Amino acid sequence: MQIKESKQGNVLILTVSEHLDSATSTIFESRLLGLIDRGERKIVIECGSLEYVNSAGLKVFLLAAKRLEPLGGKLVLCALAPSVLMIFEMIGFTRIMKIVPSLDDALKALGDEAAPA
Amino acid sequence: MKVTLSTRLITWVGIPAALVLGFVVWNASRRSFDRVAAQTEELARLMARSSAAKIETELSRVQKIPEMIGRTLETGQFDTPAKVEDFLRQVVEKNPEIYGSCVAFKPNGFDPNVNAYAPYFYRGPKGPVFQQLAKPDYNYFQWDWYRLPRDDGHSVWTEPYFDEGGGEAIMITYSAPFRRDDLFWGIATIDIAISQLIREGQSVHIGRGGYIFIVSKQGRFLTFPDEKKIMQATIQDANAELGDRMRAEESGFLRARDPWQDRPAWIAYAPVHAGGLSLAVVYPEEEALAGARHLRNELLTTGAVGLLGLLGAIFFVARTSSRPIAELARAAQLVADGDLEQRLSATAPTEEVRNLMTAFNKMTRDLQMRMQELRYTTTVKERFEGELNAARSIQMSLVPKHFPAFPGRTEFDVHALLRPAREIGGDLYDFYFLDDEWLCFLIGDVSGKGVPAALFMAVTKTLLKASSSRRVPMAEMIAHVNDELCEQTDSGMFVSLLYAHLNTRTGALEFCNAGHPAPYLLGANNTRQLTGAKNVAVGAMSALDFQSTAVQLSPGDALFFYTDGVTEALDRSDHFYSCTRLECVLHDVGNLPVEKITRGVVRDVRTFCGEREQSDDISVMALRWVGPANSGD
Repeated sequence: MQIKESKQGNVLILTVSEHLDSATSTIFESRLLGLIDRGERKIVIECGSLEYVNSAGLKVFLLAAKRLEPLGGKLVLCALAPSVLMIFEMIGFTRIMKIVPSLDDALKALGDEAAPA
Repeated sequence: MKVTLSTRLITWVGIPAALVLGFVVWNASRRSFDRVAAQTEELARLMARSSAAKIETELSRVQKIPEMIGRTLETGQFDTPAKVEDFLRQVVEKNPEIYGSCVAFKPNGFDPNVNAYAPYFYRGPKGPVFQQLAKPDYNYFQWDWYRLPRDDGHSVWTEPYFDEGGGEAIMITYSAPFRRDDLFWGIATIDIAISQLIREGQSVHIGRGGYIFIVSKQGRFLTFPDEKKIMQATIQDANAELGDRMRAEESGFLRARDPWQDRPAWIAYAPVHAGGLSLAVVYPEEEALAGARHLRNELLTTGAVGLLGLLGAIFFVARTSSRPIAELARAAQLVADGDLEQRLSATAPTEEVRNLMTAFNKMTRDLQMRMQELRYTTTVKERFEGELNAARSIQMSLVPKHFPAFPGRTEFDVHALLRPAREIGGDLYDFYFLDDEWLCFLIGDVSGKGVPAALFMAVTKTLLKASSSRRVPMAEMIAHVNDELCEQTDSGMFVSLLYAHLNTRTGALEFCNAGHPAPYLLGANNTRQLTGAKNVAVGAMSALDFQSTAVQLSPGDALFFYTDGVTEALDRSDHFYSCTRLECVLHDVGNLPVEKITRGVVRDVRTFCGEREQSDDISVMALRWVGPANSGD
């Protein structure tokens, strides 16, 4: 697993690649939760090169989304590969998490949300 | 060969030092030997010259005596034999160095009536003894001592001779002519015993084995340690080279055979011009070199003692240096064998070794502390692992493992397996009757691993069992369980759950899939996935609606439930086991008894993974509805 971090306006973009499984999810979790603790509220996770995610990885996405919600933040996932999207669908997360096709869509989604706020 | 400190020191210090020392001693001894030998040679030369000079001086002094006699006679005041003889007696008396003195007048020279007149006084035991040399049987006019100075007109030393009649000694005579009216009148002589010349100056013997000898102009021995050779043998016979040089009145030095004994000798020679003699100082080479040899031996002894001392010092240093190191090595070996109580007394002779010993002690002490810490940590870890194992066995005890689970029920068969991963995980399955007809069965997978997942699994299972009922619609019941779980956790944990009710009498199946992989329906003719209504995994988010799906089973239909540990098992090349392979296996084993199905799938997964460690729990459950029980039951 590799994590790249970039910032576009007040939106933090995390690019996660390769495998997000039981072994790597703890690193991802502490990184992501650490960023939220530091005050990041609008986070896009770019999953374009994410090849595999298991339930432990899904847990991190869910946890981050749950943490952000009461803080007025939002987590958007974008550019999921079909196989990864399938996992999200199977577990039902496509219904409870914001998942969009592209980074632009993600930024737009956050922008739309941010404007009224 | 073992390379010890001693051998290294000896090799790199001892041997070079010995070589240097040996060379120095050898060189010094050679030089000093040469020098002492040269000094000895010089000494011999000096002695020869000085001895010759002394004799020369002596002879020169006595030379004046016959000349004085001549001049006295030339005055003409001694005109009677009595006067001449009295004068001559006084000369002998007053000059102790001379043996005898003679005045020989020419024929009819002293008295025209007396043909020959030659009064002679020699030193007898009781004073001068008179002898008239003019005797019928001794015509002195014919003798060299008279003839040579008369003919040459000046004084001469005659060849030495052995005086048998008077002195019984080797004599040498100096003859000086005297004149009257400018005409040759006679000869005045003095005799000197050669032995006296030597005694005056130097004893015949020098040192222990050395000696001086004198030869005449013709090379005859005048003095010699071997008395038989005196006057009888010549130096030419004894040593031709030396003889030639001495007779040529040369001065010099020669290393040659000793003319006396058969041994090498150092010979310094010098001429005594007065008397035509030649003198030689002979040192046996052995004695000449004795001093040099002694010096050389002393040097060699000193060198040897120094070398021994050096080697001793090296051994001492090596021993005292290596002993603490050996002790250190022994202690290190003991430490290596586990005895961490080893301490060294830091009393080595060298600073480095002392530092090493201090460092060793510190290392051992630290090691001991670390070992204690490690032991403690290990104990803690073991306890922790023990507790984890206990947790896992508790977790495993939560799922039913005794098969057949319902021996009395012939309507269905159920079998399930849970292969836990090394780390405690969160898979679960369960089955139980809700009433006489309805069987509840479920399989689930808690997200994440470890004790939290296991606890969450236990909570879920308990909650499900407590909530299961046919009185409440299944969707509502699951929604309720979901809310309950969400209330209890904010850790993001959730359970993918497949929850089902089967009417064992009719084969009616109702199930709710909450984020779980779809189960397979293994019919008599085909294998298909039961997709049904999809729901979000339980515990992910509260206040969600759930939907259940109803399916009618045919007798003999089997259901296969599994967790994603099956399809996402990895082989060594990071390939997933995948649904495709699962379907293949199910196709093969689908019609077999349920236990064969579960075991077949698990075995195939294990075959697929090979040596790769199982990373996630693997749970499978197979249930076959055989058909309604016989009416007789």
